[in-house]
Amino acid sequence: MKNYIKSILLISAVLGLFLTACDNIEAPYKKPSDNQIDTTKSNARKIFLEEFTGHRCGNCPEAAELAHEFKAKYPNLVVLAAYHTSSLANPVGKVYSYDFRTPEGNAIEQIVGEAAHPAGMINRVKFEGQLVLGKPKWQAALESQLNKTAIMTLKLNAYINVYTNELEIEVDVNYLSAGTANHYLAVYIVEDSIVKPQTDYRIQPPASPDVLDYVHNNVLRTAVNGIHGDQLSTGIIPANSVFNKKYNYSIPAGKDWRIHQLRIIAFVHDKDASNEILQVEETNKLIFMY
Amino acid sequence: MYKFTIIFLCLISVISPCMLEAQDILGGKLSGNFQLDAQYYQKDTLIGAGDVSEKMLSNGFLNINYTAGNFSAGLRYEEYLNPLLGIDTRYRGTGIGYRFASFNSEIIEVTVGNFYEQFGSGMIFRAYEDRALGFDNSVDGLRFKLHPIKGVDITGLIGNQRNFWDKGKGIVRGGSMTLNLNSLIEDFFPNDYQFLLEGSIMSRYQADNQSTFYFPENVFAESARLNISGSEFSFETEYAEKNNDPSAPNKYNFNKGRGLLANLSYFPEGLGITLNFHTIDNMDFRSDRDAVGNILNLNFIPPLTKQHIFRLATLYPYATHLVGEIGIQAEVIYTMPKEWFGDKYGANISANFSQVNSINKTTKEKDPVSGQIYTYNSEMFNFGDVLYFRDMNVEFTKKWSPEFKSILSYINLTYNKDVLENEGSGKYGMVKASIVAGEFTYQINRKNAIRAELQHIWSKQDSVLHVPNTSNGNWAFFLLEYTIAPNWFISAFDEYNYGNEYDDYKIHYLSASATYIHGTTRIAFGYGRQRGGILCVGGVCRPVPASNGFLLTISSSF
Repeated sequence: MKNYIKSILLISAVLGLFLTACDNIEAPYKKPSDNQIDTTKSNARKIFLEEFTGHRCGNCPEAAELAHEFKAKYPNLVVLAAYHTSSLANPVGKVYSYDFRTPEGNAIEQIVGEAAHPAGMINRVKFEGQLVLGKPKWQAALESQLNKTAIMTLKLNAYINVYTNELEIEVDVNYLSAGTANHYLAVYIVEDSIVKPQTDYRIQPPASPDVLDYVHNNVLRTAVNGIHGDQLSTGIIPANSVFNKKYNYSIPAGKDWRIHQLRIIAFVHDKDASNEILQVEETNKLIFMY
Repeated sequence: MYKFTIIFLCLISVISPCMLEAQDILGGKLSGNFQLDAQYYQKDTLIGAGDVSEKMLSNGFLNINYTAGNFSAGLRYEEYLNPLLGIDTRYRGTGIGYRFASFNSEIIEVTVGNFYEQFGSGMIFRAYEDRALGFDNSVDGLRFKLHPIKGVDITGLIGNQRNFWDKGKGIVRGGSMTLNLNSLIEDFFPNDYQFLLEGSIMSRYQADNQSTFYFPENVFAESARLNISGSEFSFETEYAEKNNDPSAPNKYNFNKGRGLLANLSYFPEGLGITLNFHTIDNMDFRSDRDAVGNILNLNFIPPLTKQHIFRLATLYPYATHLVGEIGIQAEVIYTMPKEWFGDKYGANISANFSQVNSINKTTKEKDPVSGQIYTYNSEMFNFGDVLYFRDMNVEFTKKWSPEFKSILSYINLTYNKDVLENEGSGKYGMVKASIVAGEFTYQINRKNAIRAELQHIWSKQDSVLHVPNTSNGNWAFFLLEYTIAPNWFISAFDEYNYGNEYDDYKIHYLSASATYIHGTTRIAFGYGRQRGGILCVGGVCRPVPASNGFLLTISSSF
């Protein structure tokens, strides 16, 4: 019986140790830098901020924060994507060995012209004669796009088979007023919360500007139907037209994308005319299929 | 190249029985087993079977175990070149997927390397493997088992879980203590009854290195189990709790997890009655909060539904919905007396009912902008509004003569396809199906037997969407198997989706196979179409794509 009591005491002591091995989280649950918003409520015309960035671009973290502030300031109106391009995105050495670049991001930059990073496009509309804008102009350019009338609304559903990594994306385009044959629908995949090194010049010496656990958000992974997307119609699109588009995409084997961090962005743009992005929408998360 | 591979595989199959014999080495014993599954794929656009670039895919493994006195060690070499369709492609490659060394003495057993383990009924921890599913969540680390006194067993472990050829990010550590009260306190309990108490704890550490939420880095779970058994009954109950564990499967909510299960069996002579109940709220527990699918699962709660063996009933299998469900199952098995039939065989009849529903949840805290639910209240002991699954079935087994026996079965299923396969997103609707199945075996003589199966399913789904697919409507199934004991089994079957809503998909899935068994070696060769669907083994499921082609399986042990 003595042995029995000793055993129970020993186990109770071990149990006590384990009981300390838990963290109870109470509100607030969200970290202050969080940028997730509900993207489904508004029928307003939304704004697409496409950011050119690179993991060795020391001024880019500040620009990324500004972009996130826009999302917080204009809830449900701003959609972000980050294209890692230029030599600042090249994998270099051991610290910056990860390759964020995509052929699609590079192709977009080639079309619009390389600009000093950080740079961005607001709805692909020229502001003060420039399409690709430096960070100081983002605020004013973005405000110039606010309160525009939406030509169409987009509704997005994205499913992913968790076993096969096959995506099924449904996009409904509902025209509120007439459109043209230049209207193209493009679907991009982005990923959030990728923890990889990033240079941040806001960190002053003697501390290293290399932030090893920087959280990269809105990182472009691929364009499902090409960077320009698909033409919606070969002729005039009457008001009240509805297009139900469906895309299937298999995440290629060997990719390190984490499906719970993927989001889909869909947008309609005026290709070969004004090039303006007329509407954009994003999913908050993918629906898992088992 | 693939022709060469097939010839090579055939050669292995011929020589393997000679190679694989038990061996005594250095005073110890060497044992093991081997299996190879290879499939040669053909494109078949009608059933949705795409082109396979490699033409042939295969999974294989060889387990080798060595035991000498108190010491044992083993390893498993695995080959996935490339993985069979339906097996996760992240297994691609070859290597040692499992290795361990262990010693045991009278009071302690220590294992280092990979190991499988289960605490209680698995509500907070179960590490196991199922090669048919491509599932392996073994722990790589250290485990000890203590037997300090008679009636007390203590297990402790720490490690990382296997994640294909890598390891999960989380560190898992836990322990369990089992008290056999009859042994521990002799003469206190009646000898006719066995009393078992078990307490288990499990904890996971995973760093919080993302920017969205304040994630708990340490998540703790505990459970308590009581088992009482006698000569004609057994009762088992287990309650488990898990701390806040926001994860991808639970949509990053911060609620605690809870679960309760109870099983009662009464089995006097000629009768068996079983009642099962469980209620689960937010009990998906993994060693990586971001994992989804059959990856890095720490726990396992078996489904409260009958695991049907008739093939058409497997069109709609059920797997436990760990994020929340409440279910009940009742089964009665009765051996009908011989006098009722006026023969010397009697018969068995079984009736089974199971139903699983949602549990109702009301939001407590949520994000005002995104609508993300952080915490909620749940009615854990009330059947919720949404029906997930219902199964009513009856089975009659009768031997009619020394040569002839039969099994007749009726199954009625309701299957919420949207919830079970699609996170509740309205896409397929509710499936209502009735199945009639019969199995008839005729023993021609001592060595030869013939077996036939006839099955039919009437199936409807009430979805407003009607997307062409290869599995809806009525099916018929016919199987014929000829056995030449003890070596040969030859079978052929046809599944025909004659009631598919779309004429193009009214497809015959014809298949045939021959199996040769010699000692511990089994060689099977088949050809045919395999329908796509969900394959479940013991309540764990994975989707299997449709395929067409040759199949070769070789297995042996020594």
